[in-house]
Amino acid sequence: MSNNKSSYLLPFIRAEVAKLWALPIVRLAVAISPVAMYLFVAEVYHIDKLPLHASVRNLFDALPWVLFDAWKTLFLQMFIVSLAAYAASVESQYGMIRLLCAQPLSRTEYVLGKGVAISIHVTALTLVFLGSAVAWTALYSGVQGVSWADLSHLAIYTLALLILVQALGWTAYSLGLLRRTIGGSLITAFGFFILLTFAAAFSSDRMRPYFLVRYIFFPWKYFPGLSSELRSIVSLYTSLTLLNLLLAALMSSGLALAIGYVSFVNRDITE
Amino acid sequence: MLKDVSFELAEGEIVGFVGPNGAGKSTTMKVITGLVFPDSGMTRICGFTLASAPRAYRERLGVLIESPASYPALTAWDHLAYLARIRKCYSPTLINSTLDRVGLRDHSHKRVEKFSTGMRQRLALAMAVLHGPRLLILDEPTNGLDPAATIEIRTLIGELARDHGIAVLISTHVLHEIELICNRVLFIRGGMLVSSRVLAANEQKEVARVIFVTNDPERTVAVISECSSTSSPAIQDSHVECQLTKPDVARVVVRLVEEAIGVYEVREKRESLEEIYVRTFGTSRHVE
Repeated sequence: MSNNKSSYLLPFIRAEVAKLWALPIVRLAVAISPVAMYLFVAEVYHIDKLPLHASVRNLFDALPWVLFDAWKTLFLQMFIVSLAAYAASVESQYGMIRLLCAQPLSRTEYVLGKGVAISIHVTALTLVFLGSAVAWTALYSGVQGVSWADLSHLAIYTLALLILVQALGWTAYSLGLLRRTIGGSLITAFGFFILLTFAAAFSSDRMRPYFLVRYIFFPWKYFPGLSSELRSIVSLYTSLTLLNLLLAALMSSGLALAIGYVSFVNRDITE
Repeated sequence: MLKDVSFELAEGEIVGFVGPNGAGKSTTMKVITGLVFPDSGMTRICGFTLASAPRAYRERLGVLIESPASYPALTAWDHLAYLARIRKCYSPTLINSTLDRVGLRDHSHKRVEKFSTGMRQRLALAMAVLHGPRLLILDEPTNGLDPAATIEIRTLIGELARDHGIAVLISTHVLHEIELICNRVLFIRGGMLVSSRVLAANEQKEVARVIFVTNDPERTVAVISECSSTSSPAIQDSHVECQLTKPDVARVVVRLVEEAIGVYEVREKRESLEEIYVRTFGTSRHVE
C-alpha cells in the first residue's frame, strides 16, 4: 500500500468487466447467441424459403435478410437494455454501493468505469451476434464471388451497428443510474426504449433522421446488393448516413449520461 | 447531527462505540468511511485525511457497514477478485488466504445466494480486510448471527487486531460483545462523546473497586489506609470496600496476613458494561 495518486479507473474497468462476465446470464447470452442466430438463418432458408423469391448468389445477398430477421426479434436490443439497466443499479439494490463508495475510487471513475465495462460486453456480444450471422449464412450460401468491396461494406455496417448498440447501452445504463433498484432501473430503461420506438411518429421532418435512430434502425445502404423487395420494406431507414447515426447516438446517450452522472454524484449513498 | 466527536485509535486496538438509537453512531461511522462529509472537522488514517488525500485514506480503510452486502449471483471468490482488482492487489494467493482466514475456502465457488447469514457476514469481513487495511470499521458485525458464528466472527476480529495490528472500531447494540472483545469503549449521545472507558485488556494499571471480607473489618480499614492513601476504604455490611490498583491489592493482602487478620475473600467489584450504560444513558427507550 502506498500513497498512490494514480487513477483507479482502469483497475475498476477490469474488475467490472470480470464481474459482469462472472454473471451466469451474461455468459448464457454469449453462448446462446450463435444458437439463436442459427435459428434465424434456418427460418430464412427453410421457412421463408429465401432462395425461391430472391436472387441469392452468395452470403452477401442473404445476409441482409438474416440480419433483418434477427434484429426485429429484439433479441440483441433487449439483452443490451437489460444488462445495462441491471449493471447500473445492482450495487444499490444489494447494498454494495456503500462498500464501493468506500473504495479508493471517485464517483466519476465509478460512473465512467462501469459504463465502459458495459460497453465492452455490449461490443463482444454484438460481434458474436454478427459473426454468427455471417458464419451461418456463409454455410448456407457459400462465399463464392465475395469481393473486397463486400467485405468493406460489412466493415462499415459493423461500425454502424456498434455505434447504435453503444448508444443503446449507454442510454439504458445512464437512465438506470437514476434508480436505486434493479426493477426500477429496468422499467425506466425499457420505458425509454418503448418511447423511442414511437418517437419517429411524432417528430418533424427536420428531426426525423435522428429520431429514426432507434432500436429498429438498420443501415441497409451499406449493402449495395440489397434486393428491391427488402429495400421497399425498410425504405425509411436507408436514408440514414453514418454521420446521422453518430450524431444521434452522441446526442441521445450524451444527454442521458449527463443526467445520470449528475444524479449519481449528488446522491445520498447512505439512504 | 454530530457536534463534538473526537477520538483516536492505536494500532491493534479494538474500540467499541455505544449509544442509544439516533445518538450518532452510524453517522460517525459514515463520516469515517467517507459516505457523509462533515461540515467541519476531519478524519485521519496514518496521517492521511479524507479531504486532502482521499485515495491514500481509503486505501487504508476497511469497511463493513450494517447488513452484509453482496451480489447473490456471484461466488465468494468473485467478490474478493472484484475488490482485489479495484484495489490493484489481485492475486489468487491473497484471495485464497483471505478466504482461508474467514473459513470460506471450501465454499469459495458457491454462489452467495446459497450462503447462510453467518457465511455472508464472514464474506463481508473478508471483503473488508482483503487489502490489509489499517483501520477497520464494523457496524453491527454480529447482527443476525447464531452463537457459534458470533464467536467465530469475534475471534476473527481479535486475531486481525492482534496479529495484523489493525485498529478496529465496532458499533453494536450488543454490550456483551463489546465487553468480550474491545480494549476500550466510547459512549456517544446526542452527537457528542460523553465518556470513554478502558475495558479488561488494558485494565492492568487502572484503579478497581475491591471488596475484602475479613474477620476484622475495622483493622482491615486501617491496613488498607496505611498501604494506599487514595483508597478511601469503607465498611459496608460486614465487608470492606475500597479503590485500589492491582499492585496495591497484593500489598494489602500481604500486610493483612502479617497482621494475623483472617482473610476470607478478596474480589474485584466489577461494574458490567450494561451497568455503566444504564448509569450513562438511563433506561428510557426514547430515540434521540
